[in-house]
Amino acid sequence: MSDELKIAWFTPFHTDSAIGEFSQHVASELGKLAAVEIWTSDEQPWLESELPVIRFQPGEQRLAELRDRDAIIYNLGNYLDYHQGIYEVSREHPGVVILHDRVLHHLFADLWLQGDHKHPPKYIERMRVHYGQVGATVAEEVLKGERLPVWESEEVLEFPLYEESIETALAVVTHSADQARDVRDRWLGPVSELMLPSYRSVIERAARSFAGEVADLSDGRVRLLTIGHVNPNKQVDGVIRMLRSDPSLARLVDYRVAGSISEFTSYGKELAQLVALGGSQLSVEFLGRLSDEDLEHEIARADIFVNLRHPNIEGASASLMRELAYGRPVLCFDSGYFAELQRDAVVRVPPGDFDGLARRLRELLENPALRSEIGQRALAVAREHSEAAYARGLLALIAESQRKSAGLSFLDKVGGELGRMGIDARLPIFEEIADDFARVLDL
Amino acid sequence: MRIAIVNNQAPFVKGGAELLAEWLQLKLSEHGHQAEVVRLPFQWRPCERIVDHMLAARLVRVPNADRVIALKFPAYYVKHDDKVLWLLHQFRQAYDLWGGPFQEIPGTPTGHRVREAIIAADRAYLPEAKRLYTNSQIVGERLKMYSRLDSEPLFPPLYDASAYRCEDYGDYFFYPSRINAIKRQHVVVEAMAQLSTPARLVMAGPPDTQQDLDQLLDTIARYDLRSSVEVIPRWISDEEKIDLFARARGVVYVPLGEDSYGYVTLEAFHARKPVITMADSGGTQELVSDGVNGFVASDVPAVAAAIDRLWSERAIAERMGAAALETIAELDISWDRVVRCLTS
Amino acid sequence: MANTYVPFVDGGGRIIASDLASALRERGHEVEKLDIPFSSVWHEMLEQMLAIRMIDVREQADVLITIRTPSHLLRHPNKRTWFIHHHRGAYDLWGTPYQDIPSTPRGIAVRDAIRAADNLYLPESQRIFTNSRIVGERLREYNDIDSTVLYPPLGAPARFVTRESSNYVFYPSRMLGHKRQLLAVEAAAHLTTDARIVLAGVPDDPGYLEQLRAVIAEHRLEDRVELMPTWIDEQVKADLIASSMGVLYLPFLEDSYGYVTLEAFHAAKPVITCQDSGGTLEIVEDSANGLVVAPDPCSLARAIDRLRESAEQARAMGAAGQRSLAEHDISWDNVVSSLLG
Repeated sequence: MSDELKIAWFTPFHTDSAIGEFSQHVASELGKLAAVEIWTSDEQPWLESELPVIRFQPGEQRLAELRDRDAIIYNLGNYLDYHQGIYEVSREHPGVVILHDRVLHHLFADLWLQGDHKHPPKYIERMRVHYGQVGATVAEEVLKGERLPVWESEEVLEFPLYEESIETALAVVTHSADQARDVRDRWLGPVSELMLPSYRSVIERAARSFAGEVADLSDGRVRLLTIGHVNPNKQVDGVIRMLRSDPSLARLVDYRVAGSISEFTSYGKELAQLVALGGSQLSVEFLGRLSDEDLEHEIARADIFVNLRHPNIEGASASLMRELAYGRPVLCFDSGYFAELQRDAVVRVPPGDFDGLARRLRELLENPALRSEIGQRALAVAREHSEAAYARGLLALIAESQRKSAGLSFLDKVGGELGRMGIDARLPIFEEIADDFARVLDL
Repeated sequence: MRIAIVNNQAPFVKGGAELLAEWLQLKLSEHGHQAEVVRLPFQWRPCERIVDHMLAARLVRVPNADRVIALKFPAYYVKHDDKVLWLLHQFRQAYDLWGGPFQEIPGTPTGHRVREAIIAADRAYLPEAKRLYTNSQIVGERLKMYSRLDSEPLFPPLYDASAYRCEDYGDYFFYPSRINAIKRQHVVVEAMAQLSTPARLVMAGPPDTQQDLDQLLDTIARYDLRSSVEVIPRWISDEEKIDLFARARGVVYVPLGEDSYGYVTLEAFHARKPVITMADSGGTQELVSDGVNGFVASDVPAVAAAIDRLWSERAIAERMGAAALETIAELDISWDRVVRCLTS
Repeated sequence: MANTYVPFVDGGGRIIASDLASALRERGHEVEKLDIPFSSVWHEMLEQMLAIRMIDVREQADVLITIRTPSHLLRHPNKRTWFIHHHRGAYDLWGTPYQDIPSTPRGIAVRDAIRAADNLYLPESQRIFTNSRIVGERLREYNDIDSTVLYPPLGAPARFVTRESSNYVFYPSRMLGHKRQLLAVEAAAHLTTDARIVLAGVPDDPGYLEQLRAVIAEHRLEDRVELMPTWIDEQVKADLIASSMGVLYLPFLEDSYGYVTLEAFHAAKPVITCQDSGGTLEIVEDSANGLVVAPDPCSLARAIDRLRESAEQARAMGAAGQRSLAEHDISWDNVVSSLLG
């Protein structure tokens, strides 16, 4: 009992949360190797878990217990409502931060520009701290209305603001090597890229679904499926245009989109228009948001997944991990996390290259054996990306951060002293210390 | 108690602060304390180095010291629970010298940031001291103005005041100091050219540069004062100096804008001699009161007039010399006082 | 010259620095001494190491000589290090009762940082010297660094003259456990000649002094053993060495040979030391310029008796000891030319 690590796992845990689902699986696996508690600020109903679940309010006395824990894990994503409490605790009680998104700009913009803690000057100040005068100017212009909000454009990739969330972290987890590199450029502590898991339970369920009969469509079309909330960066409009421009291709497929979309937004209207004017060969259906069971059914019967991201602002793709579990080909763009997967386990084209996408799709349609081969490789990858591997990766990172935390907290102390001295971040002393002394601290 | 006197160290430099630190160490030891001088290196060029040394001072530790007495920037950032400051200097380049020819920190963005850091750090760390003393009122006023801190003046005494004596009020005036533009020996020479009495002047001290000396000698020659103005262009021994003080009619000390009264003023007073200084000499007026223990001249003719007056009326010189001793007693410029203040 | 030191504590580390400064000045160099206050408390290590790294003395001098650790962290393009010892608690004393850093994650991080700093910054020196072979071996073993032995000479050897030998051996040293004055006192009980033993030095440990006195009383050695448990004047020490038969120096596993050994050799007196005394064995050779004995009272007594029995032998060994100084080139000329070469 005393040898076991005591870990506090902070996460959204309500039933709608994908990060919650991630936590449910991974924390449970981690719970076999350590004593894990789940801490959430969400109200019930929660996801099911055999681990103790503790409801917390930020600032409450109970949080002082965290000092007794050997490690604290904070799951952060880009949505303030789900993560505000977690973020606030993470500043008081340093721990391991898991960055589920590449960009946390929306979270901080909401935090500083709206609601109880609204304080626009802080937005400008923090943009300056992380991105220099350029960042500060952009922030000022946004606040004056002279510029499109950063969080509404691709610019958000240049000012991700995740740096704000890891300032006091002891260690950081990313879900792609690319993002890990980015973090290492700006942050001195231990960083691990861990592969987002494909849940064992999903793999098992997927395996069972092969056994069931899936009726072919009467017209023999191959079933394409895109899952998840229909954001413009999923390029659903691009897929539809691609099919429309090539009737001979459109004729071969039935494309379904299983994810929420509002027909009242301009994007929703655009999509509806595209389909309405699509022509007789086009078979596209928007299923909207499905129940778990119905979604399961759709996934099980799909032949090919279409999982595009451009621009790629997520850390990795939970939907992808689910799709891989089903052992079917996934069509995607060769960027970000998708580029890091094993070469031939998915079907990749350069971002935005719909001509190329059409060609690869045609290839798959003409070659069922190829689809099967790719699918097998996809399933193998899914098996590798297990909760158990993730949990082990976390434990290794915790050990490394314990070793390095003395050095990190020393640098924090020095940083604090330099802060009291009013040392501007642009003075070379920071680099001098980082370039020279950080090596002594093994950082 | 065990007391560490923390000062800066700059290469092969031994100036007033270094001497004071040594004297303080000796006097504290005489009073039964264990005192050691700790010197922390300080490099201020290029200006980024200033920040490095501010941090270094902050990170250094002085173990086994019950108390730390710190004298200068950035040594006074040293971290210690029981710290007393006897402030000889803030970094003037960031404060009253900023914007002038002696600013030294470049006016580049980096220079500005360094300056802001100095100002911020002074405000953040100086209040850590249990007590804040300054070596003059001027330094205290600057501390109040720039760093918003109160302090008390604690005047540095001579190492051995008893060595100074008064033998006579002779026919010469004495100006001992390094020869350079700031000490303004040339101003006194100009005054000598306007005398109506045959008073003489003896100046002693090493020139900062050969040019400083050459210019002074040229001026003396130009005014044809070689017979009444004597220059001893080197360090003189303590004996020579005490002797020259002892027999002078009065002492001239006219530096430009000095922080404190200057040891010369104090030496003159201990030798019971009046001091002629100028209105813009800075701290000398913390000791010298016009007409009481010396003269505060507003311009060159006034310096000449003061010299003439004292030369003509010996009794005035004597009276002012006595008043000078009283000034020292009133202000209690003594090591007893210094040790008491710094160790309580 | 940069040296770390502990304020308000007298230490041998300062002697070597001031002796070196004098030697350099005598040879016409301008020396500025940088004495850096240093606390060896483990949880203040990191900040002090960083402080030293932040200090810039590059403009101050042509050459920087660093002595006590971690002054070698100072930056200078022409740096030479005369390495006296590691922060041993982070090295060979880790895992022993002398480990002065806790084995917690923080402590281990500090230990590792001390090692990392030595590994990173010692190689910045143009030349690295040690004061003994033992220390050089540790540098190689722990830090993979090559070095040259450079023996520290006495600062003022002139007073250590030779006079005719009386009948005592002399042990001048601070009195504490690992200097093993106890061994000398116990040996007195086994002497077969009329040799005597004189011990002088400040007792760092009052308990140890009591122990010595107890043994003297128990074996009624008051006539044999003279105890001077006080600091003695350098001249008094020199006089006592001058008239002795020889000098004892019996520490347990000390890194360097100790100034006492040099003082004896300057005075042409043989040195008796133990097989496990450490650095003395680098210059004391059994039967050549002294005697190296097993660390037990009987063996020590026999050695002392031997000196008493043969004044000739003792004199010859003493003379050889004096020659050893030149043979090992223990001189300031050598030190200065090595450090500045």
